[in-house]
Amino acid sequence: MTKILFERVKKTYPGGHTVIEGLDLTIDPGSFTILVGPSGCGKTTLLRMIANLETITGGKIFIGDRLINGLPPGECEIAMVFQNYAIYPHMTVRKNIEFGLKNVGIPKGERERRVASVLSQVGLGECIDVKPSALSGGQRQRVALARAISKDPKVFLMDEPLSNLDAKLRSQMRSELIELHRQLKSTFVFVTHDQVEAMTMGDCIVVMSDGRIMQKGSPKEVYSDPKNLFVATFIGDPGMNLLKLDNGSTAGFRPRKTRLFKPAAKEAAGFAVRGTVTVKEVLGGDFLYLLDTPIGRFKVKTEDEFDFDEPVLMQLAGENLYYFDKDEQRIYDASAIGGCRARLAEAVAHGR
Amino acid sequence: MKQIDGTVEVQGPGGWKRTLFGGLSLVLLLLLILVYVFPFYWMVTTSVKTFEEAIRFPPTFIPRTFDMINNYRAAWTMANFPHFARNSLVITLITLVGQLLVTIPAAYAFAKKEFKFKGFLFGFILFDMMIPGQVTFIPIYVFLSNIGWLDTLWALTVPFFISSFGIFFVTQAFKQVPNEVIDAARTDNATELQIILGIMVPMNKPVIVTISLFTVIGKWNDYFWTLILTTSSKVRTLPFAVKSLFALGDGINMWNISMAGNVLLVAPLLIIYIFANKQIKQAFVYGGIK
Amino acid sequence: MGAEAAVARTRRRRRGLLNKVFGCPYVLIAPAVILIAVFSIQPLFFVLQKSFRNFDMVQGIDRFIGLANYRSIFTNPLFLQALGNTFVYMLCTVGFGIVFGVLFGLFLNKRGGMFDLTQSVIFTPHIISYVSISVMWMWVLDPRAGMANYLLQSLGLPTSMWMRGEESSLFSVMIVALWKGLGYTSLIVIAGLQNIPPYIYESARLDRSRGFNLLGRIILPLLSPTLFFLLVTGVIGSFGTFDIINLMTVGGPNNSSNLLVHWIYQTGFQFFRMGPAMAASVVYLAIIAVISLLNFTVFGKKVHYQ
Repeated sequence: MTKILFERVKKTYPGGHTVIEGLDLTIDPGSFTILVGPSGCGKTTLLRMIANLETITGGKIFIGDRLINGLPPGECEIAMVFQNYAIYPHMTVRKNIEFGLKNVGIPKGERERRVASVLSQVGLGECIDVKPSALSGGQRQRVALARAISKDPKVFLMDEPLSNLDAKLRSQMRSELIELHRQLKSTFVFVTHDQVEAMTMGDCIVVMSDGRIMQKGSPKEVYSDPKNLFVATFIGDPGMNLLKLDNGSTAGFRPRKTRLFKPAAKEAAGFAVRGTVTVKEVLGGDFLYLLDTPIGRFKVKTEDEFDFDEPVLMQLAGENLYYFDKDEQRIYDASAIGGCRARLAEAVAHGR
Repeated sequence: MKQIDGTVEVQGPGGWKRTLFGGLSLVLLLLLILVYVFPFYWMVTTSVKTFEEAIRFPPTFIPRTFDMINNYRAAWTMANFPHFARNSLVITLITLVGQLLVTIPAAYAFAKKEFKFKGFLFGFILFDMMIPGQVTFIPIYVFLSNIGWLDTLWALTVPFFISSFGIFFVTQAFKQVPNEVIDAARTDNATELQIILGIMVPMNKPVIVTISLFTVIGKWNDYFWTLILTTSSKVRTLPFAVKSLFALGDGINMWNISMAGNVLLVAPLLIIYIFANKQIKQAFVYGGIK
Repeated sequence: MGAEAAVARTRRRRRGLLNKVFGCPYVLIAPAVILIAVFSIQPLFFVLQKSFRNFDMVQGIDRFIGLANYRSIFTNPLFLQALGNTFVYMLCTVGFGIVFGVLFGLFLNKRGGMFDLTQSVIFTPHIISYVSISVMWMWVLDPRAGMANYLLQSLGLPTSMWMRGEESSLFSVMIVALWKGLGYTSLIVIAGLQNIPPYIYESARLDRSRGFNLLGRIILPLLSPTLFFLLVTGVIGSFGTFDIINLMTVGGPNNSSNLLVHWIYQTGFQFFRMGPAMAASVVYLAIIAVISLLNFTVFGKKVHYQ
């Protein structure tokens, strides 16, 4: 179980463009850490720096207590699974896995043992002498996974490995990866742009934007306790509803944590706003509504069914409200929260 | 109307008209084949005749005499075939190997490495593609003469290790190898040599075969450079064996023996062509279209 | 343990000098760059420089004489004849070559069976050497005992002296060149035709385009990159013709079939007049450069790329 430490890490590309600057991060040993964020946020760059596939322009990266700056990729004791699998198309599955093992001088008997063992672990025991062209996408991904496992690395790096798979296969592979992590107990670092994937798989989420870390925490934390507006809107499907207040701060609430009632219902505690359903999406067991209210348009996710154009009452409980200041940071101070609450109450009253 | 599109479907007039056009096509095809096969046929039949029958006018289409063994034996010894054949083999092989050794690493560098002046240097290669040998042959002759390489194997091989077309094609092919595969190899602790020989080359066999074909055919058939860079028959190649059977303007030509020699020269290539004709044609198309 | 030693050995290999050497791009391209510098760039400068000098290797002379070489070649009727011949040769072989190539390419395209076989047959001359082809054709075109005159005679047509005649020598050479080239040209045309996606033809059919309309308005324009390629390579290639001349006619009789490069060869290697040979080489280079430029500016614009 190895921890990964980033100390004031900087990455500048040869053209002069700096994508990451002064980044500090600790990836906990044995964790399944997910780096998540929109395209271009630097998550893949960060991942590749752990493998030294991108040169570390500034700062230090430690795998365990070993400084890895400047080491060749193969000597960092990591294994990587790429988005496009990157298995050698001209070698059989067996040779694909043996290639790296041979290069570190692992003797033949041990190699054969490992190949057989990892292939059965990923369920490809019969494909041992097959060439990649005869395999499906999912199978090729498993070969890439088997190759990674065979190296017995301290850290598993995965760069959006599931993006090229179809939906069903993707969710199957997700559970398999979680199970694998449980078995191997190594540190997994997984990159994805899909926050649903991130939330279901990881035990530690690192949300990134523009080369900066916006928040690091458990899925529960980043969901229920976002530290800034970016995390609040990025995490959650759909993201948080936002309402600008007149003192420059923003109030937010999750679509899931909002309740809808028929207009005649007695109002519960908290804020209540009247609105009409303008869009209704059926999502299996839930419904996603877009409500038109006097204070703005908001999304609500609930099991109750309402009709298109139906007038409803939207209710927000106090504890489900979040407040962010004008720098998009979360407000924790009780009196500041009180102030925002008051402004919100005014806005709601106004809208009636 | 004659079918002028790319599909196999026949579209157009039906009935007797189609038969007529089909017939005309057939005639045209046969005519073409005749025009192309005939010189070869003529060459082969002449090579089995006796000299007297060979030079008879009007000529005989079907040989009446049969002196094949003598003709071929004469061609073989008079032209010293073994000597020239050996030279051809050695020179072609050395040139092929040398060219691959120069081309492949350079292509790898241009395709997958970043370095200063890369653009300029690649332009250098492209520029070289435009310089025809017909301009450079005299200076090359002078240069090789000065370093004493004239009339040696070196002169016919080393200057031809460079093929800018080869570098161009292989670079383009190497560029197609996904960078992720090379990244994976790096995390697999592969050495640079392993990447070149174990990944870049195997993944691009067709291109490598193509440029090798060009080189082999070109070198085997080469006349111009061998003429320029040699002064005796010491290292000359097979085309010269045949040429030597030809006494241009000097007495009477033993056509039957010359043709026998020519058959010997052409036969290996034809055999290879018959077996590998699809690949060979593909190679030339690839070279052209790209 | 053996395994540890093996691991250490491979690590040494990876970090070793050999790997650094093969990882260094400059080392990887060095052989190529050096060869180009020696065998292409330096000769270019040599040719340019020596064209302004009186260069005689045998007598050890190397003196600057300005434009004298150029003056001498442009007043030399043999050179001018060779130059003129070369233009004629180029125009005829490229012109007819492309036309026949297109015609037969269209005719032979993708119909399977006999058509493919015929295509393979006509491609054969492309892969055998000029020596073989010259020898073959010299025999066919032999004025006394060759097949060609026999056929002409039996058809009641006048015979020709072919390569032995002053009026017919260049013509004979052109026939052989066209014969050799048809297989290659038609192959390239076929490849170009097959690059036209089938849905273009389908669309044309819906637009009721057939026959010459289809050919002229759809096929040829879409074929233009291929034709342009054939034009450029054909022109440059034909301008540099040497082998066939040296083997079949040696430029004669009486310089009637001499072409530029062969003239340069004779002047330099047989008459040892290096200066004029160099000047002629520069002229050759200039002509190709100008023609290529013309090709690219005039015809290049007309090429439609998909």
